[in-house]
Amino acid sequence: MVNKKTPASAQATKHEKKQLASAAVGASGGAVAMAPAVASSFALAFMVVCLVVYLLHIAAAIMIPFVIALCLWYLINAMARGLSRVQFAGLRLPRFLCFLLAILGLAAGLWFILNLINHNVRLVREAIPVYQANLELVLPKFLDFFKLEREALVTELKQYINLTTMMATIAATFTGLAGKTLVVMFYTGFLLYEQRFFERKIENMFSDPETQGRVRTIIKNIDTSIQRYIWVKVVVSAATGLLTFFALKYFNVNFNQFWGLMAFVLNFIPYIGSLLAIAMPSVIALVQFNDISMFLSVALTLSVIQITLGSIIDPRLLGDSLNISPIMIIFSLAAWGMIWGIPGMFLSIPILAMVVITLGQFPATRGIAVLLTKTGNIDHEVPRRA
Amino acid sequence: MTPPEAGRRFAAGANAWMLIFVACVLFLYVCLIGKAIIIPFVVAFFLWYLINALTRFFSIFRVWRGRPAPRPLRLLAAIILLTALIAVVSGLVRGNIEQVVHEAPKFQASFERIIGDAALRAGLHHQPSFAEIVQSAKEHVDIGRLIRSFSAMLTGLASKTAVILVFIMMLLYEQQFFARKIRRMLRTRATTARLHRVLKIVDVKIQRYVGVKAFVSALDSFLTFLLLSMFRVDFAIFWGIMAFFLHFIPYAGSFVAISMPVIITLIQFGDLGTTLMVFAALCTSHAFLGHILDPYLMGNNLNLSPIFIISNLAMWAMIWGVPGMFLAIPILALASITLSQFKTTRPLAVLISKTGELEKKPKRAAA
Repeated sequence: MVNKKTPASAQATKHEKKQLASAAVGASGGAVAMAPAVASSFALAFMVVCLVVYLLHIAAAIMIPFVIALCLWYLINAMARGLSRVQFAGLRLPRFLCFLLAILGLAAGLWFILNLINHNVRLVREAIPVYQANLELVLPKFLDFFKLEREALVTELKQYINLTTMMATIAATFTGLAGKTLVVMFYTGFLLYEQRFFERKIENMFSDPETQGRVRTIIKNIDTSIQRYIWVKVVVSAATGLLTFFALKYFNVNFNQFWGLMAFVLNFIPYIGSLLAIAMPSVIALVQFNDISMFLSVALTLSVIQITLGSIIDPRLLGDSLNISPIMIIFSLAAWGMIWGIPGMFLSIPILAMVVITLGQFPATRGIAVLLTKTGNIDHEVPRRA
Repeated sequence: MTPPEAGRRFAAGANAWMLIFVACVLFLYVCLIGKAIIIPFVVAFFLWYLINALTRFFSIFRVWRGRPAPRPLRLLAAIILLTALIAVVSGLVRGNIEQVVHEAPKFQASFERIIGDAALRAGLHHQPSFAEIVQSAKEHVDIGRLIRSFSAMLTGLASKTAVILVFIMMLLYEQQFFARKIRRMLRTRATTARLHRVLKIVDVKIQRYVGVKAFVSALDSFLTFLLLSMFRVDFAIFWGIMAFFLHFIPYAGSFVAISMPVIITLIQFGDLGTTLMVFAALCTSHAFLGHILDPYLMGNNLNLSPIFIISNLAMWAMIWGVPGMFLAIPILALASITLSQFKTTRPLAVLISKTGELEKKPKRAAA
């Protein structure tokens, strides 16, 4: 640049200034003009969200089998990938065998769990009348212990604690799922068959390399965090289940196997699952032993197990990989419970994680993603467009 | 591109997609609530299409001095042939349905006895569980209700016959103006050409689909009839005709077409050996026809992903019931072809394709 300003250059700078000023006016004018567009975007987005929720709810019968198939497909792939890494004397298993083993392993695991649940549900169902009679005996004792008003509470509690309907609901959920098994198997099979075309589909769907890269990033990030979530949850839940089983065995509570298994399964439902996993065996202990101190010690032990594993170890292991606000977790749990019932509760966290990752990838929706996180940080920053 | 410009473009794109989504949901909702009006029209449209295809097909017969018969004559022949076919098939189906419904209670009784036997043999001999099994089996497999609902569907369509006939006649009368309508509606030549191209592709593909399916289904129906009458299963003709129709429903159709006759066999003979033989025979014939002959003839004609076929089937079954199941594949094919014609919607067409490859890139729209 020349330091000495010729009149011409002075004019030029003046012109530049003018241009800048007009650009600023243009920008603010643009912002004003943008306002209706942004508002209509939000209005449309709201309509879309409402319609999506409505569709998910009314078409639950169609979608839940597909979503379950998607989960199974994902698990099979993850297991097959794990198996393909195993080296035995420098040899790796062929891809085909990995998939076969993964499918068989998953099927065997599911078969075992379902059998155990089925067996125990039948036993529990047979024992329910005895328990209910016992409960009616225990209830007055319990009330005396806490010096509570009797009559009103007994009738009120009886309304809430109806063991028969509770067990019937759980059993119905499992049988309902079993009836859909065939459909789920169909979907899983086709997903496994079609996955060879997925890569090509992404290539042909997004011609622009930038969008393609973004889609791949979203998929990769979702994959990483869901895999981590599943591993941590499986390990922690298994520990919870085993500890619950041993604790109940120590106290000689009936059906300790079943409750251990339930603790494993329920641990995948945040907050409410832990609460149920503590409350139900404790009530059973109360009913079985007719003894309040027994009830309190079982409840205390289980609470210690759940709190240690759920609130101390689990967050440590998960770290910031999920980074979702607890308020949003509870809210989404309630919402999915309403939309899809029990399967929805299991899926609420993975779905929320996917939503946060996807929203975090686009400048326009990053704000919403930030709102959903716990700390306000989104770790996978998007490079700003120049 | 400046940031506000990029933001505006993103917002415009997102808005368009969101509006499209809202429109799609509303469209499906209209399909659901307007079922009573739309289904007769769709059936009429399908029959009109068949009549036209047959009329064109008849032109290969040189009737007089090496020239085909005049169009009105061919049209008349097509209408008569189709009517006769429908009359024969519906007469057969109705006769058989009456018989089946008449005998359904007897079958049900024998079915319950067999289930009970099986439960006893499987070692579930304590009484409550035995009663439970019979109860739950009854809830799930109410044969009488199943058949009655199917026949209700057929009679429902029959009672709409008048409406369907009126629609067909109007379509046949009005088709002479269609070309002019399209020309004047679209104004520009490029759009008209594009529409004609889409219609042509749709025409070719759907015709091939219907032709191949009809041929394979007829074979399937004949084989089913032959096998069942060989084993002397009751209502062999009925199941043969059912197999013809069920073949048009992907996946679920073959499942029903195999399982129902097998159940009937089990009930009729109460013999596991015969049942297994019938089952194996039907499975072989279906596997050959559905998984070897059908794909061989169809090739990559429609190029639709099985996952989308099944979910689409479930969706249309929910919206339109049994007619929706028959129409699920043609509708999906129509959607896929239409979506592949526009640059913005092409990714969706790729998504629902089987292999992820579409045939050819469309030329840039001469804007």
